[in-house]
Order: sequence, then C-alpha cells, then structure tokens
Amino acid sequence: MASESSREASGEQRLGEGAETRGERLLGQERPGNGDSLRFYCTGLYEPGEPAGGRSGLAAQEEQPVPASSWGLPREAGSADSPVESPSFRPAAVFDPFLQVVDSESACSPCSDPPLSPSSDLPSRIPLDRSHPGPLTRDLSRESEGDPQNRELPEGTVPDVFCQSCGIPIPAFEKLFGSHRHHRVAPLSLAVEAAKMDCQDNIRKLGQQLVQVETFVSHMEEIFVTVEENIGKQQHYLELQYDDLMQFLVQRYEDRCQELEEEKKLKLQKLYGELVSCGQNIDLYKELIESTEELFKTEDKQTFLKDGQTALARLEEFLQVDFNPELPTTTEFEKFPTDMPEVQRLIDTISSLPVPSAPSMCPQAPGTGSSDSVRVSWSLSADDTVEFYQLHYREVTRDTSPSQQGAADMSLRVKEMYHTVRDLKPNTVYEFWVTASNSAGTSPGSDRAKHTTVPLAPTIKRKAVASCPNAALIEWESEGRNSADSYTVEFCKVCSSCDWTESLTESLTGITSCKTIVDLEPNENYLFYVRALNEGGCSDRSSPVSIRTTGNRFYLMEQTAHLALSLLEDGVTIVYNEDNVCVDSPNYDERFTRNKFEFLHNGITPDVRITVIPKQIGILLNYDTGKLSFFNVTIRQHLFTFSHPFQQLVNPCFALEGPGSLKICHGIPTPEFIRLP
Amino acid sequence: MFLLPGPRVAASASAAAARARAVSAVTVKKMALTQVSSTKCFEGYQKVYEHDSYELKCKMRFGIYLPPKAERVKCPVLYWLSGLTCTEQNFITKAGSQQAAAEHGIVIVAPDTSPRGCNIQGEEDSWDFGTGAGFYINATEDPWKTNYRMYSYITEELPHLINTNFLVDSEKMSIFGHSMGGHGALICALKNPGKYKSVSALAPICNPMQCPWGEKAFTGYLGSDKSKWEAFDATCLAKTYSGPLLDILVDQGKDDQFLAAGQLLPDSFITACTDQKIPVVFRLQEGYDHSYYFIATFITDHIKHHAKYLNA
Repeated sequence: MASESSREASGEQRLGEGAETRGERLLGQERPGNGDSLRFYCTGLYEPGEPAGGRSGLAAQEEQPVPASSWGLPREAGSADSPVESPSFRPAAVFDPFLQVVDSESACSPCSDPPLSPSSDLPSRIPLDRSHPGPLTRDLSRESEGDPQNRELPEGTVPDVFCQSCGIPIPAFEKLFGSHRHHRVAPLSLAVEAAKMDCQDNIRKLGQQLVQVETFVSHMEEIFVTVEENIGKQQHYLELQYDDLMQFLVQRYEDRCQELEEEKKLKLQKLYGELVSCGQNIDLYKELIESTEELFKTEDKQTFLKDGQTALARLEEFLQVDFNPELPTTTEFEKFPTDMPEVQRLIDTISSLPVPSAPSMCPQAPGTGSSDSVRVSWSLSADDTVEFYQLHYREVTRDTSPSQQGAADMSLRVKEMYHTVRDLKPNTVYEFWVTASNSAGTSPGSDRAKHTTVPLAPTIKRKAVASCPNAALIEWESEGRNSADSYTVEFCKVCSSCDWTESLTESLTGITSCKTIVDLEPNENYLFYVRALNEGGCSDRSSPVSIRTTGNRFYLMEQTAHLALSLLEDGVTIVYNEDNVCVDSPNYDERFTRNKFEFLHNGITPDVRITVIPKQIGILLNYDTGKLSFFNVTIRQHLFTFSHPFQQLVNPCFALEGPGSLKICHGIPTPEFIRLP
Repeated sequence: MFLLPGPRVAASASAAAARARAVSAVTVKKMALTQVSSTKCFEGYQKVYEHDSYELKCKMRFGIYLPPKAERVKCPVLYWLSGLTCTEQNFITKAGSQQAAAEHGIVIVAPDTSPRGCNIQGEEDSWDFGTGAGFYINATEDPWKTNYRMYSYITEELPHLINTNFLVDSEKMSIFGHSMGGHGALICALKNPGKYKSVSALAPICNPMQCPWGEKAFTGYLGSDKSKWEAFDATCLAKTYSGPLLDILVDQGKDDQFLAAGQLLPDSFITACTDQKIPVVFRLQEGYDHSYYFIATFITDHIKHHAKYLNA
C-alpha cells in the first residue's frame, strides 16, 4: 500500500504541475468552454454502441496534447498545442466541476515519464483488480439498463473517487452512503492511471499490427520482384530458342533459294543454246531454199542441172540430218526435302526444360574440414531444374592455378547441393567442380574450387620441453609431409585439487616455427596442446604435455652426447659405462687432490679447497646480474660464484670424466638458503 | 640508545636474593656502559662504548655498528675479533663493514684484542704478546691469569652485555675475525657447538701450537704443558669436534707474508676438517696480503656468508 499512496501523492503533485502547464498552453487560444476540455471521463465515452476502435482511437487522440518529448508515438498533423476535438463525443455540461480536478494534462502526465513505443515495457501497473473492467471499459450490464441517472453527478458535487462498476467518477460519500455503496471504488488518480494503461495497450497493439502489415507489404514487394524476374528469364530463354529456330529456317530458305536460282540459270542457258542453234538452222534452211529457188531461175539448163544436183545433194544432206529437236531440260525442278526432321528437333527442344546452367562452387567455409574430409557445397540459379549433380575432384598442389584443368581423380553422384567428401589425405589441396544434370542434358562444369584438408595434429617433443618459473619453451613436430601454415598453442592451468578439470584455456596463434616460449605463472601446473593450421582450418589438439612451473626443467639433448656417454630414458641422467671408456681421455687423477675443486673460467681457476665432497651440487644462474653459483646442497654450503656479465645465451653442459652416472634433478623450487652472492 | 629496564624481581625469597644480586650486577654493568662515540654511517650508527669488565678487571672498549633495521626489529649479532696489535678502532675504521651490515641488517660488535692498562710487567714488551695480543684464551699462568681472560670475555661477558643493553636477537650470534682474531673465532665456535650460527676467518692462525706466534703466546699464557694448549688450538679442536654442522669460510691472501712465514698453517686445519667432515671453503686469494685492504676486499663476502645463517 505504500507504493499506492506514494503514487497518489505524486499524482496529486502532478495535478498541480499539470494545471500550470495547461494554463500556459491555452494562452492565446480560445479558452475551452465547459465541454471542450479533454478528459477521460467525458460523456462521449459512455455512449452505447461506440466502436472499440473508436475508443482506442480516442485514446490515441487524447494523448496528443502531451509534450512531444515524452511520447514515442508517431504524431499526427496536430501540433502539441492544439487540443484535438474529437467530434465523436460531446461532453456534458454537468461535468464542469471535473475541470478543476482532472484535466487532460494531469490525466496524461503520470504517464509522461516512460517513453511509450510499441516495443517498450509498460510501467508497472496499478494493482487494481483486473477481473473488474478498467476505467475505460464500462460495465455493459449496467449500461444496457439505460439508467442515465447513475451517470450523472448531482449538481455541485466534487467527484473524488472512481466507481469501477459504473465507470464514472463519484464523490466519496456516494460510495459510503449513496447508490454506489456496493460498487468497487478506486481513487481517481489511480483510475486515471489505469485508464492510461489501457490506452497505451491498445496503442501498442495497433503499432504491432502496423509493423506486421508493413512487413507483409515488403514481402509482397519482394515476391513481385521475384516473379517479374523469373518470368522475364523464361521469356528471355524462349526468345533465344525461337531465335535459333528462326535463324535455322531463314538459313535453309536462303540456301534453297540459291539452289533454285542456279537451277533456273542452268536450264535457261541450255534452252537458249538450243534456241540459238535452231535459229542457225532456220537461217541455213532459208538460205538453201532461197538459193535453190534462185537456181530455178537460171536459164541455162546445163548450169541448172549441175548446180541443181549440187543443191539437191545438199538438200538431201540436210534432210538426212535427223532433226529431232528435243528439249534439253525438263520444265520441272527438283524437289528439295524441307529438312523436316531438323526443324522438328528444334521445335521439340523449345518446349522442353532447358539444360541447367553451370552451378557455382562455394568457397571453403572455415571449420568445415577435417584431416580426412571436406564439406563442399554449391549453389544454383533459381530457375534451373536439376535431377542430380556430378561432383568431380582431384588432388592438386598449392600452386596449381585454376586454369590448369586436369581430369578428375574421382567423381561422385550427389543429390543434394552439398557433400562431405571423405578418405582424403591430410594437409592436401583438392580441386572440386560440379555439373548439374536433368532430362535435357548436363550443364557445363562449374568453376573449380580448391579445398584444403586440415593437417594432422602435431606431436609435442617431450624431451625438448624446458621450463622455468616464469615461462616454458615448447617444441613440436608436425605430422605429414607438408608443414602447416601456422600453429596454435593452447594451454590451461590445472588445479590438482579439482580433479584435473581445466579452467580457462589460453591460446597463442600464428606461430610459424615449431617452437615457442610462453609466459606462465610460477608454481602452477599446466597442460599444453598444439594445433596445426592451414587454410582449411585447424587440426585436432595434440596429446597434452604437462608442465610444472616449479624450478627449472630441461632435458639433455641426446644428439649432443659424446660417444662414450649414454642418456637414460628420463632424459636427465648421463651414464658413462665401463665398457665405453675412451682411450684418449686424459687421466685426471693427479689434477685433483682430496680437497681441490676447480672452478674453471678462461683457463684459470681460483684456488679453492673444499673439505666435504658434495654429493649434490646445486647450480644457480642469475643471468641478469651475471652470476653463476655452485652450492653443496646437502649442507647448504656455498662453494663458489662466478661473476661475469653474460651477453649471449648460456647453455648448461654436463660431463663425466670417469665411469659413473650423473643425474640432473630439475624442477626444484629455489631453496631458501640461496642468497644471491 | 637501546637500554632496557632491569629484570623484574619475583616472589621467592632465595630467588629474590639471587635476583637481587643479579640486579645489582646488572646495575653495576649498566652503570659502566658509557658511550664514547656515535657516528652515523650508512643510515645506521657506528658507536663505541666503554665499560668495566669483570672478567678482565679493567675498562674495556668495543665498537658496535647498529644498522638502520635495528631501530625497528631485533637484529642478530656478529662478533668480530681483530688481530695482533689492533684495538677496537682498526676494524671499524678500516674494514668497511658498515655497508654490508646495514644492507643485511646485522649488528657487528668489535671488541678490543686484550685487556689494557693492567700494569702487568712485560705486557708492552712485544707486539705479539701481551697488550694487543690476548689470543682469545683464558690464561692460567701468572701474572696473566687475572686479567688475560679474553676467551671468557668474548664468549660470555660480552654477549651478555650486548644482549641486555641493546635490542638484539640473543639467539642469533655468529663470529669471525682476522689473523689472531680468526684463530679466536675458530676456537670459540669449535669449543661452543651450537652457540654460533656460523663462523668465518680471514687469514687465521689455524694451528698456533705449531707456529712461532702460538708457541710464544701459549707458553706465556698457558705454561709449557702442551696438552693444555690443545684446548685453544683450532686444528686440534677440529679433530675432536662433534656438534651441529658448521659452515666455515676462510679467505687467505696468497701473498700474505705470514703465510709464507708459516705462522698461519691453514693446510693442517683443512686436513683436520676434511677428516672430521667439517665443511670448509678455503679460498686462496691471488695477490692479497695480510693487511686491512685484504680484509676490506672480502669482508662483504663474509658478512653475506653470516647473513645466510643469521637471517634465516
């Protein structure tokens, strides 16, 4: 109840404020009359049959006079100053006293703090009993009774509570003594707030609907565009096909024309030739006839007989020539077949499916490969129908360019647009391409895409690992014939108390050589893994190596051992076997008395005598201060310290001069008694 | 000044009487400890005190260096025994020990080398016997036996004096010295197993019974019975030492004329220690002699050696 009262108090406070601002607002404007002010409780609300949409619209309109800054709704043309007068309600004169108590500003102001937008959270609601209708919804049962008297206040009373059952404000005593005494009642300010909440709800719902419709509209637009595109593609394709057909037919037509033309010429030529020869014959005959007739005109009978015989001979000669004119050529012309099968074929192809176009290979997605498989996928244009794909691949080297298109090593028939190709070699590049097939045929091959398999996990060289309290040096070797592009070292702290579960894992990436130094915290236990990376992705983790950052650890390099020495399995013990005694090693016995130890540097040694022969010698190197110290660890005795600034790397090297063994104890934390001399 | 209040008196009567005596004794000693000088050095103080010694029956002086750390915590004490002819001044002025002492937080006490002003006949006759040559033994022969009790002074009176008058860690004590003082340090450590956390020496007289110095001094102080000398000979003591592990550091200048003269004889000491498995690191330093220059060169190493055990 404390919250309610505080709200009430603040509401009343706001009432005061609201009255002032409203007063400012209305300066210069017609002072609204008795009925012009906007209130939640105008009679217009109580008119039966008013649509719910109208009411929420009313609520939306009522919100407008509030200052723009406090509302998130899109605003209509009306400015903040002008009170919108909804024509749908007419406030009754009897509600004038209301003007002083509740006006639009105060009614709206409790909600002015939270910005209202369809997606914002609503402010906490007034804990009214929601089973009862809110202030704006009216008790229909009562309304239908059509009892106007309940809705009107008696003259001169000041309503100060709100009756939820009737949906009207009433003076308090009405509750106690009047007709509303059995009704539920709430303070006005709370009722106001509840009414506001309802309005806001409705507004929010409207906003959501708006968003939905807009989304739908945009979808429709997309579909519109897609349909346009698709049909356009079909059209285009059809055009192309018919174009082909047309060209074919035109070509044939022209060919035929040409042939006919030639035939015509040929025949005409022949005919012409005949004509000419016939003409000549005619001329000849005519001449003969003429000459013969002229002959008849000769008086001389002897001459006539001689010439006549000649002429007769000639005539007979001519007559004997068989004149049998023939038509050299026929009037017909050959029929060319119209190449119907070809045309038929062309027409057939128009109606069937187009051959699919070449798919396009997707580039290798990171993380989809493993050391023996890759996942390839491709895409297709939207209007192609495909029954199956044929995936081809072959192994290539990294330098192979896409233009060197060799034949496939393997081909697979695939139904989906992706496939995981298995049984591949690690750290190898393969070239993939795909063709799409349907009943019409097979598409040309797609562009070739290169995919790379991931390398195998490397192995960490355990005997090459060195550590000190602040760092560790890791070395590994990569499996397989090619070296990977880079390596990633992963490590995590292991706490022995929590069962070796791993905590935060750190990674160092981009290591191009096969060794690296990692900074660590002292006195911790770490697990190290290495992965190899190439353009296909990263390999599995290697087997882990455990590293403790206590003291210093390193292993002897077996390849540097003298022939007479052998290194044990633990990597830290040298053994000089009796059998392997080298002949040429000098006899050191006389150099060492019982007490004398040599601390050799630059060919000289200080004269130091030691009475207790150390069983364990501790070696402390302080590189920064340039000191190398030796201790008798058993009795914590300092033996000697070299002081010499170090400029380069210092490598420990251990030797045995006689048969025996030497073991290096590493991983020992710095003892207390080491005082840096 | 770090003078403490005297011990409290308890209930029991006899105990009270005993304590009364002790109180009076302490009071007597306290009254006799007077500061002669105090000089700031490396943020600590080099002081010289004078007191009446009941062992030596005369006024004795000692130098004491208090490191800056001594103002806050109880520091361990390192006793320095000087060589022949030295007083309490030689070490504090020439050895350059204050810097290392300040760095490691160690109090260094440097007493005199013998009782002074006792008016014993013959005490001034030679530089290597009598005044300035106490040899850190308790004399048994007249006229020396009354005053020449440097061994007891060093091992008992002086530590007690220091522990009661200064804010020091009475459990942590070490000892070192030069030449005759080296001899003194070695015998004090070997004769009191566990009393000193560490011992070291610079050019010590290792085997006095066999060298001219020792023969002269021991004859005068202890008489001619050589069996009595063994109790004050480091080599002999090493041969029979049994006690907590000592870690002995010995530096010896190679050009030390006394080494060549056979006064120092480190080899026999080393041999004895080897046989007895007493850890010793003996360093023969090329080119160095017997002087305070030699001491100054290696004093820091020695203080570090002691610091390892005193500050552990």
